[in-house]
Amino acid sequence: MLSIRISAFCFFLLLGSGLTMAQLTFPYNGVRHPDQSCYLLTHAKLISDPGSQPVESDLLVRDGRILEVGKDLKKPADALVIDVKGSYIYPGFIDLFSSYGMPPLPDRRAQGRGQAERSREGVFGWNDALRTEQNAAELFKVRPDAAKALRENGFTLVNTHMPDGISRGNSTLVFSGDGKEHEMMLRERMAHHLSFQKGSSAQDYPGSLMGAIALIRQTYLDGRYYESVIRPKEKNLSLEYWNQLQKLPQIFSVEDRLDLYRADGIAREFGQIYLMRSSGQEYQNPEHLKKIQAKLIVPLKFPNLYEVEDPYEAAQIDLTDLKHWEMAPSNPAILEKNGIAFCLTADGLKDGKEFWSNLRKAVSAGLSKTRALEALTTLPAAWMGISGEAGSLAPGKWANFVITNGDLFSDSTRILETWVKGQAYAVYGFDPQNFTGRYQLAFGTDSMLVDIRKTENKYEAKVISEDSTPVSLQIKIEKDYLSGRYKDKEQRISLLSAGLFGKVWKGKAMLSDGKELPFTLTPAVSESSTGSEKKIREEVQIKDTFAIIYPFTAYGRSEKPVRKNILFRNATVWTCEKEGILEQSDVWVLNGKIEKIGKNLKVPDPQTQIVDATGKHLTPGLIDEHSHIAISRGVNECTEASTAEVRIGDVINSEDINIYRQLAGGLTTAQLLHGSCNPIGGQSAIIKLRWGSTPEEMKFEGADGFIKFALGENVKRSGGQSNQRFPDTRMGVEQVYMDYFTRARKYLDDIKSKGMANVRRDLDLEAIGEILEKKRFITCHSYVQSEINMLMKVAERFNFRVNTFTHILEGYKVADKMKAHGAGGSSFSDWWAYKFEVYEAIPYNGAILHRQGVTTAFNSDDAEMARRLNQEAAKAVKYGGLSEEEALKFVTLNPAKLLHIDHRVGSIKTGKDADLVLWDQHPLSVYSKPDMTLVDGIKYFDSGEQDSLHRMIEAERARIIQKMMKLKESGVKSSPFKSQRRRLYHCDTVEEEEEDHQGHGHR
Amino acid sequence: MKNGISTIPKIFFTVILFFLIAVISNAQLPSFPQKNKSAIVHARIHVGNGDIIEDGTVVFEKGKILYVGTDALAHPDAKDRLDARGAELYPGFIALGTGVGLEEISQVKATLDIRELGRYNPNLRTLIAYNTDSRVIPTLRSNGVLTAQVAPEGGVISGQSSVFKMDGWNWEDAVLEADEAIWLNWPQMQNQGGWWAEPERSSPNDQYRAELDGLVDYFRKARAYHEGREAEKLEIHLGYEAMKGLWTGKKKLFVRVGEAKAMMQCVQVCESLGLKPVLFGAADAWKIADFLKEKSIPVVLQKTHSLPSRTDEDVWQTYKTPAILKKAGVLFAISQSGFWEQRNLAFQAGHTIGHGMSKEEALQSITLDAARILGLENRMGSIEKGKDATFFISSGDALDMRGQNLTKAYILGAETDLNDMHKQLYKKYQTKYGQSN
Repeated sequence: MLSIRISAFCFFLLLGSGLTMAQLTFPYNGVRHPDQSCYLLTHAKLISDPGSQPVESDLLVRDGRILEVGKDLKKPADALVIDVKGSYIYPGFIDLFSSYGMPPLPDRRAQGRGQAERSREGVFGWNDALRTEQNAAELFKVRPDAAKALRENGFTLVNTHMPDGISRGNSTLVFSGDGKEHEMMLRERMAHHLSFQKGSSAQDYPGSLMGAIALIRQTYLDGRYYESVIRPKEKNLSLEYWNQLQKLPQIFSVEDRLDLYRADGIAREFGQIYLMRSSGQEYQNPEHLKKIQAKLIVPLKFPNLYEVEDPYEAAQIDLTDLKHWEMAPSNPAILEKNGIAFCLTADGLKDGKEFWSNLRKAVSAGLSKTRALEALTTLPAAWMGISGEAGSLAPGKWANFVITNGDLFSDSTRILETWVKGQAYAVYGFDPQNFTGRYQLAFGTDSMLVDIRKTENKYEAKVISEDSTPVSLQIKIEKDYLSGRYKDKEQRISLLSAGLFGKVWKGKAMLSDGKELPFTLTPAVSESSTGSEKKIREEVQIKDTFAIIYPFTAYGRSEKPVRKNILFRNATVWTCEKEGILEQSDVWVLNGKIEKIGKNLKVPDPQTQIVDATGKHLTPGLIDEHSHIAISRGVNECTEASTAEVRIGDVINSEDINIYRQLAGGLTTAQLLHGSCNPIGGQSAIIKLRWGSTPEEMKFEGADGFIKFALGENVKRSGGQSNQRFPDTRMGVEQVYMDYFTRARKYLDDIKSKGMANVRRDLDLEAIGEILEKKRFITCHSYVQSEINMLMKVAERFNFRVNTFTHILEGYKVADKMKAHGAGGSSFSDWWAYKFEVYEAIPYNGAILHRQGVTTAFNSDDAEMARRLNQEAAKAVKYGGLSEEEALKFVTLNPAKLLHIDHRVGSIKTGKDADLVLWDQHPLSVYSKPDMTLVDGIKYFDSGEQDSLHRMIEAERARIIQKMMKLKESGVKSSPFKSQRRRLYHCDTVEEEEEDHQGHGHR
Repeated sequence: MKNGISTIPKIFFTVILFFLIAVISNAQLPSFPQKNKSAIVHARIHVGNGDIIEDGTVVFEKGKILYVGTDALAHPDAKDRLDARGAELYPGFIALGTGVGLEEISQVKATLDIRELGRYNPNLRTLIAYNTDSRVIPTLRSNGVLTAQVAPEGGVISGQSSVFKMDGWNWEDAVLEADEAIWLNWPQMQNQGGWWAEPERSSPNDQYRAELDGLVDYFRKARAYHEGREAEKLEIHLGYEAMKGLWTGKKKLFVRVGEAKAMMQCVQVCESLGLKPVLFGAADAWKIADFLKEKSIPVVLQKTHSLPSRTDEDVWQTYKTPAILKKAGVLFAISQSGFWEQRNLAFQAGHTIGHGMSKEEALQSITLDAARILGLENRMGSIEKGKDATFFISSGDALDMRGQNLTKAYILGAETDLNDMHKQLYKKYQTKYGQSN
């Protein structure tokens, strides 16, 4: 009876679709059939909201909304009754991050690259990556196939947006039904979407992640300024839309975990709350997410099983990726455990079917069902402010719900129907009689066992036969009618048709010779859960074995290293102070600081770790004045002559393995510099190599602000064949400085005379203004004497001094002038001949500069060399004959002075930070290597521990690879490893190459 | 003042002028062949084969070593006798696979002669492009590099290398062994993107197989040509002609290859062609040390001062690799990539000493074992009787930047000029600032 009722009902629905709902303004071609349907669903197991237990209940639906929920509801006279006895009803799911119904993205390549100007028409702002005018409601089109895919997963409402640009304009909240666009829209302007990807913009700027961040920052300021100006000089629709968007919820899409921290930083700076469409890597540092109270929209994208049979190919897969494969399904569970608020999204999954299989994996890995359901219903509704309308089953809310044949999270459960705005859409369909199982097929005199399974909406039959000759059966069941084909041992085909009599199918077979034969299919024994479901369980039974490591890469540690009080006994101590080199001396480290230096120091307390340093050398931690490690996605913002607004501090990559490798070479502090692509580059960041910390924690507290300048061949773009960007000569370089400093001077004067509130805050000029105000300091990439001299003269005209010339390979030619000006030099020890402007670079440069009284350092500018700066320092002895004591200062105290951090680091002195290296022999010798490296008294590197960490890496790799092979043997599909992370970056970001190092050990 | 320039200032002026001319002209004189029988006595001799002779004597004549031992009075007829008490005597370092003489300024194309157009160029010869007047060469001598194998880099088969002494008037004069090896760039199994500050994850090169097939095809045809040219009167093929030496054993095959799997494949392919390659670069050699030993394949490690190839590797892997190969008994040399960079060759070897190599083993990896790989060990690479008198005196440990300080260097017995452009500029500016040294 029920089946008939349902099919009739479905038929009605088909008829009714397209005619439904109140079409208030749209003309209609034909006679109207107003849809006033009312449905009473009875005997459901109703889960009205995520926390509730199933309650047997009826549900009354009229005009797309829930009218009543309760037991034994009175049937309105016009109601169609649908008995759903045995089925579960859940609130319809909501996906907050989707691009459903949006047009395809414009192809940026088609527009060509290298555009300085915007290409959009209209009164919009200057940058094409800011698509604030983009209104998803105006772009939305109902796409039946995509809508069906949404409903198949139970999604009834999706927040869809155009995923193009840094500001992507507003999303729109739509139903996943098949109606007309205007019927399917619930909120025209739902949320403001942002990202770090410039999308289809063909404009150069921003060419790096830090540029994208700078652009967002400037846009917040511009928006506020635009709003505050009573009579603006210009009309700027982009900013007007931007300001309107500020009233909506803000959804920020990030590509990895560090991006999430970065977006969070912007949110804090501008008093925003971002809902972050995250990456799925959040489990890698849940404590931090908890601390920043992240609100996440979490994807369920889990990596496939990798192919690892070939050990040499498997070696290309990093531990990070192996562990991610293993831990990704645990991400939601770990977030839940840490009390982090999150919704779930199907975004990022290629195949819609992955959503439920992955969600079940996540539940198997420990995610509670309640929390999972919440993440799909009440929480997204609450975040969008539509709790009164959606997210749970209650009178007055939209009739959006999901009917299933069992508990939602059990493997065998299917979504039968998804109701959207009061309309039913079949998914698996009601299937009152389940025909799966084992049957006895009687076919004339033949008799055999047959397994019938259901995959998706189809039944499949498999003949169980010991005979090697294949006998096959294909069947199709529609309600109570079966048709099919039977191929016998001789490969003759018979056509079958049968009706259902009780539980037995009875019918006739049309044989290959035209004769007919009766056949029956009689149920034999029932079948248990299918193999594929078992596999899912196997795959996620992994909870106990893995560990989070900090950072989430090789040489990460499961426990962050702790600070200990240490007494170094009997070391040769290179103080880098006037005390010089102290033989057989002790250094006491207390609470991260150097407490005392002396001979035979008393053991202060029994907790203090005593390190016997007899025969060993203790030096200050080495400092690299010029480094480009630990920077995410773009060292250069190459696009304009000045990009003073970009900040390396925004894009510190705390997971870069080079941090650990350099600790292993005794490095403790580095200045991360912008590249040398433009005369005025970005602001640098000074970090301590606190391996395992977050980017913010790595920053050197309270350090002065520095900025990268660059001269010569790189900024005039000599590496390329044709340059279109001013300047193209050293003459032009000078004038860029004259122009910017003149403008910055005026900017400061304007602020003084008009007040900050009446001046557009310009982050570019602000940073340059800070130089004029002696609050920000220049590190200038420089080679030949003419340009070095030029910049000093420019600085003198504007009454400041150049803090540091870096590279400065012809510094020896103007050392006297540098001394007079007060500039320091940070040089390569012995590089030359890699470009024309270094053809007269000499390794004696450091010695000459030093002897002329210039504060001189040797730097790396190279991830490899920074592992052995002690050897570079030794070259100041070899070339120019400096004392070894002075030479070591080239990589300790002197760079500390250049970076204005010598009050904290750079020498071994009471009260300074315990940033120390214990060398196994003379620190300037090529034979020497660190036994341990301390930052703030914390041992971040220990040569003994290094070996055990490496063994752990190998053991962990082997364990995961074993697990992968076992899974593969059990039939789980594998695919070759492809790194996701970089690729994401490539699509949207211009990558600039720094010509400086071409042909110089380039990798 | 018009007429009154006194004699003393005149002389002073002349001296200064003379000095400036010397500084500015860069006119360093190549050495002339050794004239007199010479001896160096009381030196600490690092032979290059692992041995040290304390208080040793070397006697050499007409460019060859006549005597090595402890007898300070040996060959009393040697006119020039240099007392090197307290100093160290080393065989000249041998730089393998370098671009010195072909490259002058990396980013100025006009000064580069190392990469030719086209894929298969076995007939190219670095020999005739080698610039003896490169200002780089004296800076290498200053740091003990006295011999170099100058190799081409472009295409798939890059061309032929030659071995030069680091002194001479022209290439003909400077060459020690002409056209001694063919250079091959093995196809990349993994594509590496990005640049040094932001290396990207490698991804498999899906052209690998096709590139390999093309390469093997070329070699097969070259061999068939060699076997059939006379009999079949084939038209002259310059490329195949250049490869003749490979089949007769007169030329070596140097293959630039780094990944373990590619190295093994390379050895197998070469075996099928009847060749034994020298693997150059060979970053992953530590993974297949036993295989290399078993097949007795020599290896040239390119730069120990490199980052590990993979994030998960031992952070000091590149420093440790030589000791691993040593232990496994693989014949290997250490090289330093680039041209001007070769002045740091000694330190590439020196750095391995803290990581399992002994000092004399490290020295051997840039002297005798490098000569062995070139097949020139009977002539060079160590301070032994009968070999070229190519060596230098350092006041300290030449493998350590702390000690390396060359006071004399001899190439084929002739004392070579240890001045260079850098020292000249140093002097010039010391003069400007009145800094004395």
